[in-house]
Amino acid sequence: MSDLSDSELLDLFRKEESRNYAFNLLVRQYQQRLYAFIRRMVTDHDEAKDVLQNVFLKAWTGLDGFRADAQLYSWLYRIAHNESLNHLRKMRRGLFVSEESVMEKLTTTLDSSEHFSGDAIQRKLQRAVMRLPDKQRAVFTMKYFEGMKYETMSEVTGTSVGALKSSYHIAVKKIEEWLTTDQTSGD
Amino acid sequence: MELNDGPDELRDAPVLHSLRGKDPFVVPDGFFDSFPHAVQQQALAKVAPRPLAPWRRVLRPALILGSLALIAGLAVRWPAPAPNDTSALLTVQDWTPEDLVRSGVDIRSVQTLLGPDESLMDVVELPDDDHAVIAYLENEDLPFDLLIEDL
Repeated sequence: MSDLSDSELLDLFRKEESRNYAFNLLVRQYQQRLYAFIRRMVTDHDEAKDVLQNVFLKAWTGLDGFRADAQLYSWLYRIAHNESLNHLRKMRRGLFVSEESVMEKLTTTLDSSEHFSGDAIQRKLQRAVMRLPDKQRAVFTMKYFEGMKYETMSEVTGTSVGALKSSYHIAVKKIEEWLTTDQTSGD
Repeated sequence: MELNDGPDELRDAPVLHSLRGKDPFVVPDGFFDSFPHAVQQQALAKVAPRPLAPWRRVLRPALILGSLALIAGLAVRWPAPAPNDTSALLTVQDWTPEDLVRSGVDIRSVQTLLGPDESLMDVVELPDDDHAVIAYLENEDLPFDLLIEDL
């Protein structure tokens, strides 16, 4: 089935008789891309599933007020971005631990996860990404893994393009350094 | 997806450059087939009011009917006074000393209760002279025999 445009989806959603159908299409259309971002942020599949579910539930309640002049994907991505950061914040509060301890938990999840197929260098890359502060990790993920434009990233994060470029540049430098040294290996 | 078409920011990061585009995260089989249905169920549950449990469906009307019967029963047991029925109202009545004597109230007890300053004392105050007292009593048309006995 070919994807519908944002306006076609929204038109269907606003009609009572096709509301559920439109929402189903919307979830099918965007779930994989949003899941990929969330999964890279929270690492664990079950946690990613919960966050993704919250994203679409928020979309369900907020779609009536969505303005057609904005891109639906950017709007959904912004919800996913905020939900992922909230999830990591809650995780930190729940554990009452430092940044390093959260990183440790995430890497343990990564090591024990049956859903990670990467080789040693891929694992090393994921560990390096996890060492970044939450917001910088989001910026790096959007740019490096998703190839998103800075303008879109700015819409999603509410941060200026200049600040995003600077943040990404620093993240790339740090990760490359970690990848070429043994600091993150742990293997 | 909008791809970045700007200058390659990975030119100074050869390791990152070589790893780009690989996704090592594996998604469980069938996840994306079942997920839309699951999330839609949750969304609909958020909107639709939850149906009442069967015992609540029976209990609710029973409670309402029971309450109504109780209120009706209380209304019959203790009817409100009719607008013209003054029996239930408390009335204040002015009593004269003569009324007190006629009703058989012990005057001395009343005097004790009211104290020496009350107006009742002024009314029953009698002159010291016996003849004057008799004349007073005759003049006031009081039950003379009873009073003589009392004096």
